[in-house]
Parts: sequence; C-alpha cells; structure tokens
Amino acid sequence: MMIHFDNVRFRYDAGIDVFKGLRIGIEAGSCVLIVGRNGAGKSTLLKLLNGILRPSEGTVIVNGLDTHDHPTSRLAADVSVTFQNPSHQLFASTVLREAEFAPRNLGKEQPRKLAVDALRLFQLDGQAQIHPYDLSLARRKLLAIASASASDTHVLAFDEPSVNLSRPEQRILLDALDNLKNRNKTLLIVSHDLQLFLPLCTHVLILREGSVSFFDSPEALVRNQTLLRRSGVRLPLVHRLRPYCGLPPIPGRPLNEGPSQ
Amino acid sequence: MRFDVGEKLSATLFLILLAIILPWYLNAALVLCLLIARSTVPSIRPASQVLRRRFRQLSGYFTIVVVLMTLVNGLLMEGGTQWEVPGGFSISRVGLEFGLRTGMRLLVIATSLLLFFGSTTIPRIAQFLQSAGWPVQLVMTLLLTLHFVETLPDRVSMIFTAQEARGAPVRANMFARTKGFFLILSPLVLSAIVESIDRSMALELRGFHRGTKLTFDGETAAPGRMTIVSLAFLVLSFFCILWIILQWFQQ
Amino acid sequence: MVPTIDIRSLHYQYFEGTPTVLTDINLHVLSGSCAALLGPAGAGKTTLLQVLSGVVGSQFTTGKADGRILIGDQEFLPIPSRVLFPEVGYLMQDVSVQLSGIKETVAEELAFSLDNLGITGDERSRRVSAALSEFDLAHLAHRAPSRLSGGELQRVALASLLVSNPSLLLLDEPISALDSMAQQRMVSFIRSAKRTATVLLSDSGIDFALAVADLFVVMDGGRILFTGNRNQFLNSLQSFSHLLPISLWDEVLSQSRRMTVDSRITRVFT
Repeated sequence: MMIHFDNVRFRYDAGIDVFKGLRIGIEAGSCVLIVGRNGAGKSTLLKLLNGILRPSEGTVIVNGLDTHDHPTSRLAADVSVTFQNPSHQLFASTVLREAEFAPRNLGKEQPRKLAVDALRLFQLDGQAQIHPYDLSLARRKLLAIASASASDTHVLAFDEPSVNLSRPEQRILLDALDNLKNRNKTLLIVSHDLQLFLPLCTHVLILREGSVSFFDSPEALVRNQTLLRRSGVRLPLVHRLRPYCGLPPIPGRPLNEGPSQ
Repeated sequence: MRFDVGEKLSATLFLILLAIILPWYLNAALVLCLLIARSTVPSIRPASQVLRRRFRQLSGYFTIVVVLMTLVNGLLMEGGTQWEVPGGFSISRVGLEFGLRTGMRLLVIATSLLLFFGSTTIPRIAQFLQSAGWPVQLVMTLLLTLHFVETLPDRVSMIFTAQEARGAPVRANMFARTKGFFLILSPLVLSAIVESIDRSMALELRGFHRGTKLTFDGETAAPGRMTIVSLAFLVLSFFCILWIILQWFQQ
Repeated sequence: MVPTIDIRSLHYQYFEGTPTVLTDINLHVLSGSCAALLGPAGAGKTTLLQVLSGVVGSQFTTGKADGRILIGDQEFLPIPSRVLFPEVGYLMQDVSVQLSGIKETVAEELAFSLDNLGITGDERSRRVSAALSEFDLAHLAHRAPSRLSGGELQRVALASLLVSNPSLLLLDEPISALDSMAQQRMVSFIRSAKRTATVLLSDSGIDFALAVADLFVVMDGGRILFTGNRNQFLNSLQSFSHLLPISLWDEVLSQSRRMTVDSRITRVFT
C-alpha cells in the first residue's frame, strides 16, 4: 500500500472536525480522482500527505513513512503536492531553474536532467531560458505541475490542476499524467473537472462530511447515481448524455464492466 | 477604559515621538508597560485570536532584530570599554549603547503600531479618517493598502506552504524563513498589484467613485470629534516635537 | 427596462501601438435573454464584458476604441466612458476581490451599493433583507465578510450585485470555483434572473452554457468566431475542438440526430 490513512482525525484551530476517522488505502500506480463539495476536505487531505498538516489522531503513512515522524522537507522526497495557484510557487529567473528547484532541494541525483525531462514531458523545454512570468497563465500552471514532476517522487498530488488551462494545455497535461501513470507513479488529483479526468483515473474517491462515501472505479461510480446525488457530485453533461445514445458513460469502458475492487 | 480611534491614533503618535526622546532603558520600560496595557486595557487588546497570534509573532521578530542590531553595532563600532569575545572579536560599549538606543526606539514604535492596528479594524479607521475630513479617495487608497498588509501573513503562509511542499525548508528556522521571504518577494508584489487593480475596478462597478462618501452602520458620532484625551496626546506630541528640534539645534 | 445589447464593429486596444484586444466584434443580444461567451483564456471574453460595463472606458483613458455599442436606448460611440452603475451588475471572476474590504458585516456589505446610490432608511433595509433571504444569507447577516467560506462568499457577491436591481448582468466565469451543487444553484439563479435582466456570462467550458444560454458566442484571440443558438452551436461543435473542452461530444453528436440531443439536454437539466 503506497498511501494509508488509518483512522485519521483532523481539526483546524477553530475546533471543527474536518475528518472524523478517515480510512483509505491507495495502491502504488493508482490514479485517484478526489471529488466532493467545497469544504469536504479535499485540499486538507492533500496537506495531510506531506506533513503540512498532521492528524490529531490516527496516522498517515506514505511509502512506509509516518508523517508524524518526519518533517515536510523529508516527506517531500516521496510525495509532491502542487497547489492551485502557480503564482504562489514560481519565483526563479528562468523556467529551467524553476523546474530544478525541487530536485535540488531534495538532493536528487542529476537534478538538471530531471528538470529537463520534466519540461520535455510538459512541452516546456523550448521555453527553458525564459522568465516564468513571461509565460501565459496556462503555461505557468503547466510549469508549476512540471516542477513537481521533476522531483521524481513516488506520489504526485495535484489540487485543481486543470483550472486556468486552455484546451491545448489540457491535452498536454493529460498526456503527461498518462505517461506518469504508466511509470507506476501514484497520482492523486483533486478536481471538479470530471469530464477531463474520469477517462484517466483508476479510482474515484468521494469525500462527504469528513469521511469517504465512495472509493471505487469510475464505472462503479456512474452506476450509482443515488450516491452521486447524495454526495453533491454531478457527472458532466456529456457523460449523462452518452447512455441515451447507446454509449458507455466513460469511453473505452463498457457499462457492464465489474468493479475493480 | 475605552479609547476611540482618534484617541488611539494620537496616543500612537505620542508614543512614536516619545521613543525618539527617551533613553534606551526607559524605552525598554515603555515596551513592558505597553505589553501590560495590551493584556489589561480592552480597547487595545488585539481583536481576535489570529491577531493575538500575529502580535506575538511580529513582536518576536522585532525583538530578534533588536538583539541582532545591538550585537552588530557592538562588534562594528569602536569606543569606550571593549569586551573580548570568543573568535577574536571585541564588543564596544559605545556600539552596544548605540544599538540598544536605536533598537529600543524601533521596538517602541513597532509595538505601538502593532497595538493600534491589531485593535482597530479597517472599517473603523476608514470611518474615523472620513469624519476627520480626509478626501474619500485618499481614505480608500489607504484602506486598500491596509487590507493588503492585513492579508500579507496569509499570503506568505500559502507561498511558504507551496515551497515547503517542494522540499525547501522555509519554516525550519528564522534564517530559513527570512531567506524564504526574500525569495517570494517578487511574486508577492506582483500578485498584490494585480489584485489592487481588480479591487479598484470592483469598487467602481459597485458605484464607488470620486465624491462618494463612505457610510457606516453603528458609531457615527464619536469618531472625528476631538476628545480631551486626543487633545492631551496631541499637545504632548507637540512638546515632543519641540524638544526634538531643540536637541537637534543644540548638537 | 430590460435592455437589448447591440455591438457593431467594435475594436479596442489598451494603448496605441499595442495589439488590439478586441477585433471587429459584432453581437446582438435580445432583451431578457442569456448570451454565453465561450473560449479559452485570453480569448477576450473578460475584456468584452469589462468594456460593456464601462469600467474599461472609465479606468483606461489611454485606450483606443472604434465602433458602436447600444445598451437599451443608450448609445455609445464607441464605448461607455463611465461605469454603467446601477443599470449594470458585474460579477468578477475572483469573487474575493468583489467585496469592498471595508465593511464589518455581511449586511453592511450588501448595502454598499445602496449607500453609493444614496438609498437610505426603510428602502435600504428592505432591499438588504430581501437579498439576505433570497440568497439564504439571513443567518450570516452579522458575520464578518473575511470569515465567509468560498460558497458563502459567492452568494454574498451575487446578492451584493442584485440589491441595486440591475437590468444587465455581466458575469465573468461565474462557476469556475463552484462545486456541482453550487453550479446547479447558479443555473437556477440565471434562469430566474432572465425575467428581469439581460445576462451575458463567460465560461471556459460548455456544460453551464448549454444549461442556461440562448445565444452561444465562441471567441478566440479577441475575435468572435461563431454566434448562434443551441442547435447551431451543437452542429458546429466539432470545429471548436482546439478551443473548447468537447472531446467526448464527437461520439454523442454522431450517434444522435441534433434535435434528439437537444431535447435530451433539456431533459437532463430539468
């Protein structure tokens, strides 16, 4: 098990429990789409992975490391978390230096090579020497994500990676994430954009009122409309229309395919 | 004991001027008095738990700055008694006194300003300034600046979190935090400028423009009217300014 | 009066010598209808909305514009040079900058526009109360705006627009930060808003537009590439695959007749 949340309880200073006994086990190589209403705890979940936040009870184990026992800067060698706003992250004078920042901090071997490979994966290698703020907003977002993948961690987590991306950048992102998935990286994606990520992911995790209300394959999800409604999640229009046209809701995955676990 | 915005503002001005006049040991005593007053006087107590925590953090930073300033001046300046320290350095009495004098002044000024802004909300400041006759556009500019400063710690925290997640130990110690802060200065300023433009557009789109007066619910009578307390502090401030000018001429 | 909007041959650049950000814009939006501006980031959607609101003409005095804009019976040659408040209500893309930052409670925040209009006393209280109850904010009336959650902030931002009874609503990416249920509430809001206002909104997706829009406008690079109703939009969808997130629609559209798909969309959303 690459990621294990064992009976995790967490509350912010205000005293309200965000999680009241969260239990999740994620296998290596999974691609998990995390959905739920605003305020369900999706971003908090990501921050619990790398020790930015620590559970008040229970444990979070990532690649065998208990987050209680290690500082964030150590956990960052195993899990990279990319937050929503690229302007919270980019500060280097060139795109290449920005991509090198994480692998250098983490003491990875050949940080420059890791950075160049990551830029190539996200089609930013041609802009390696320009200032990050000379990139368009969509490309800056891709750079923030590419910089995370340059750290070559086992787990990559993204908070709303498709926001601010235009269509071409979305395609680059999907191809890059698919590539990372094929390299057996474990991907966690928090997003409202089910249309974009459902075909890519192996599992969908729905958070509702501080606990897991669903954790299974996308096919199992589309069969369970009641659960979707109760969790405040709606399938994108095109997925809802597809059955009316005799098509499986998710392309490439027949409707009668059984749950993966 | 309740102080209104005008009284707090004139008291802050007086304290700043007093800090310039007093010797370092009296300034140190003044800081202690202000810290005691903070816990005992309701109108200058920080308005929320977040502000109390920020007050503690910022007071801590300023104290460290003062200590460093004192030591550095002691090492760099010469004169008076010299004390030998390990490493082949010596600290001079003159340097230490200079550092303490400057540092304590800074601490009084910082503590006074922190107490004022920590216990007075931005709307109250706006209400006071407008009723004191400030042009509305100027009031609004000041408010937008104060609003940015108020949200600065949260912004810095978000940026630090993003950098920590990339393996940068920006919260490891004071040195790391200071280094980290310089690294994020340019994205911070850029995002502030963009947000200010958007904010001013939003205000105009809601009808705020040249000549509009801001209106407030709640207290409208008290702010802007000169009270005895405000007048007393302003008179004392005037005498402080006179004293400073006299001292300057005598040098 | 609920206005029509008529834009003829609009060109705009922020400074002379810089690239034109809006080129040859021609658009007609019927009274009480909803037009959706669709396209990627940088297409000119926000610029067009801001030009219509008058804030661009008011704030950017170096701007160069050509063309004509007609909003209701007000004609602008070429663009409004003052903010069209209170006729226009504008929702910023980032709602956190929408609020004034100088009010201590939600109720006072809602009253900000009314204060700027000089509306006081009973009328002010009545409008604020109505807005609080319409947007389910009554329990938050005395809450500090800085302590609102994302969803509450969105509702306060919308309510603060509507207190001044605008007849033209300009909404910049109103659903980008909303979860599914909040998006459904926004759909309901726009459907009812059309009774008393003309609505122009922008979006980088298409689902929301399909639920609420009567007119679909596809933009890219400051130009309008397409205008049409829902059927016409669905018929032309495949030509915008490089601009809009429509990758799964190809199969849906080719498997059904257009009209069938259109009626399915209505069924799915009602």
